[in-house]
Amino acid sequence: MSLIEKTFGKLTPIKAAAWIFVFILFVLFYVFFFINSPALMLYLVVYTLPPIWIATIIGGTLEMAKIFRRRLK
Amino acid sequence: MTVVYAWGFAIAFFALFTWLGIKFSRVESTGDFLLMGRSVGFWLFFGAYTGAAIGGASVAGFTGYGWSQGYSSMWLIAVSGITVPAFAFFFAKKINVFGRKYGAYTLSDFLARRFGEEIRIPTSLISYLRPVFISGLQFLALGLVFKVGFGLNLKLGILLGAGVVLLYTVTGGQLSAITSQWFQSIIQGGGMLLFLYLVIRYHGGLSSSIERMYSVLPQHMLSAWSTDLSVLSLWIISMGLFYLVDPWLFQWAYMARSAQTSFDALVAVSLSSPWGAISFLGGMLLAAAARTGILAFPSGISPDQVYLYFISKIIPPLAGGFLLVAFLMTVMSCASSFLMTGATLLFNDVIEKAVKRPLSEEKKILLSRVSVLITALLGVASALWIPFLIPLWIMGQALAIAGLLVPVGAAWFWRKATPRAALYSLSLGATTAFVWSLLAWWKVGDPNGFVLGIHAVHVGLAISLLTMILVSFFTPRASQEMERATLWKEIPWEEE
Repeated sequence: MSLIEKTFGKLTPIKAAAWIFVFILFVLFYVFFFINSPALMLYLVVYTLPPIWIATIIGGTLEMAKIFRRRLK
Repeated sequence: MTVVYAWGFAIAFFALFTWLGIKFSRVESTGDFLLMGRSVGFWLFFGAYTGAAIGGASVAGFTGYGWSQGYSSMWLIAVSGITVPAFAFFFAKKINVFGRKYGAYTLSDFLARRFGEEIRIPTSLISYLRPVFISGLQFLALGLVFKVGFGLNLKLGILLGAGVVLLYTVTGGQLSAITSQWFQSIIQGGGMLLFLYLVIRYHGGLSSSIERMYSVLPQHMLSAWSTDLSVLSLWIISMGLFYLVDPWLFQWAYMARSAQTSFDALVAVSLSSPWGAISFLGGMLLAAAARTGILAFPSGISPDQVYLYFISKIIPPLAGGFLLVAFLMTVMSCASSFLMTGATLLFNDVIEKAVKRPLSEEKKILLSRVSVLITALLGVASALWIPFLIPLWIMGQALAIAGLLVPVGAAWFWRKATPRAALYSLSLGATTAFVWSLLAWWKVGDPNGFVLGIHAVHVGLAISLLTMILVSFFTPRASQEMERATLWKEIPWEEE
C-alpha cells in the first residue's frame, strides 16, 4: 500500500479533486495571513465558503436521509 | 419587528430539535447513546464539528477582536487550524482503531489502558471541568442572546436555552445532538455569510470595503505580526497544542464511522478556520464603517457587544431576526456537543466504574441520560451563580494542557514511561498550573496572566515533563501488553 493510499484511502477523481481544493484553500489561508493581507483573505472567504456551505448541505442531507430511513422505520 | 421574526424562527427550530430528540430516543446501547454507535459519516461529522467548534465566543467574541485588535487576533484560529489537521494526520485513524478494539469512549480509557485504572479518575476530573464550564458559558451566552435580542430576563433566557438543549440531548443522545448540530451549522454558516454580505453591502461593495479598511484602520490592525510574543506563545499552547490532548477531539475521533472517515473529516475541518475568519474580517470592516461614519455605534461600546448591536439594531428586521437565531444556533450546537462530552466522561469514567456490579444495557442507558442531566445542571448552575466563569474556563484549559499533554505524549511514544510516573506527572502538572493560575489571579487580576513573565501552562508543563522523566527511572514499568496497547507505532492505521 502506497503512503498516499495509506493516508487518504482509495482516491476517486472526485475525492482527489476535493483534497486538492482543501489543500489549496489551507495553503492560501496561511499565505494570506502571514503576508498581512486582509484584502486577499476577504476575497478567499467570500469566494470559497459559499460552495463549501452548499456542499455541506447537500452531503449532510443525503446522510441524514440514510439515517432517517434506517432509524425511523 | 426583529424580535417577532426571531421568535418565529426560534420556535420553529426548537420544535424541530425536540422532534429529532423524541424520534431518536429509541437507543439500543450506551455506545449508541453516547457515541452514535461509532457511525458518524463524513458530511455529518464535517458539518456538526464545524457547528460545535464555532461557539458564541467565536462569532461575537471574534468580531469584537477584529473590531478592537484587527488582523493579528486571527492567530487565535490560525494555530488551531494547524494543530487539528496535524492531530488528524498523526492520531485520528489510530484513535478510531483503538476505540473499536478496546471499546473506548473517552481519553481516560486511552490513558487507563496504558497506565492502569489509577489514572482514570484524575484524568476524568481534569477533562470534565472544561465541558462543564464551556456548557455553562454557552448557557450564559444563550441567556444574553435571549435578553438582548428577544427581550427576555437573563435567568429565564438561560433556563429556556439550557432546557431546549437538554430536551433533545437527554432523549436522543449523541445521534440527536449531532444531527441537530449539523442542522444548526447550516443555519450558522448561512448567518455568517449573510453577516459578511451585509457588512460589505453597507460599504458599497467588496472593493470599496477593502479600500476603506486600508485607508482608515491603523497599520497595526492590518498586520498579523503586531501581537506580543508572550501572548502568541500562550495562544500556540492553549489554542494549538491543547488540541493534541483534547478529550472532546478524542471523542470525535472515536465516533467516526471508520478510521478513514475520522481522518478525512478531521483534516477537512481545517476549513473551519476560514469560517472563523469571517468574524474577524467582519469586525474589522465594522470598525472601518464606524470610523468613516457609514454606521453609527454607541461610543465606548464593548467589543463583545458589537456583533449583537449590529444584528439587532442596524440591519433590516427580517435579516436581523434570522441572524439572531443563527447566533442562537451557533451557541446551541457548541453547548450540546460539550454537554455530550461531559456526560460521556461522567458516565463512562465515574458512574459506571463506581457501580461495581454488572449493569443491564437498559440501566446503563438510563444512567447515561442521568449523566447528561447532571452535566447540564452543573452548566446551568455555573451560568447562574458563578460570576467568573471565563477565568474558570481558562483555568480548566490550563489544567488540562499542563496535566494531560505529557502523559498522553508518553502513552503514544515513550515505552519506558511508567504508570506511577504518569500519575504523578498528571497530578503535579495540573496542580502546579492551578496554583500558578491562582497566583496570577491574585497578582495581576487575571488567571490567564503572566507572573515573572511565566504563564501557568509553561510552569505546569515543565513540572509535568520533569516528573515523568525522573519518576520513570525509579518505578516499575507496566506490562508489555499495556505498553503496546497505546504505542503509536503498534496501533494499525486501519481496523484489522
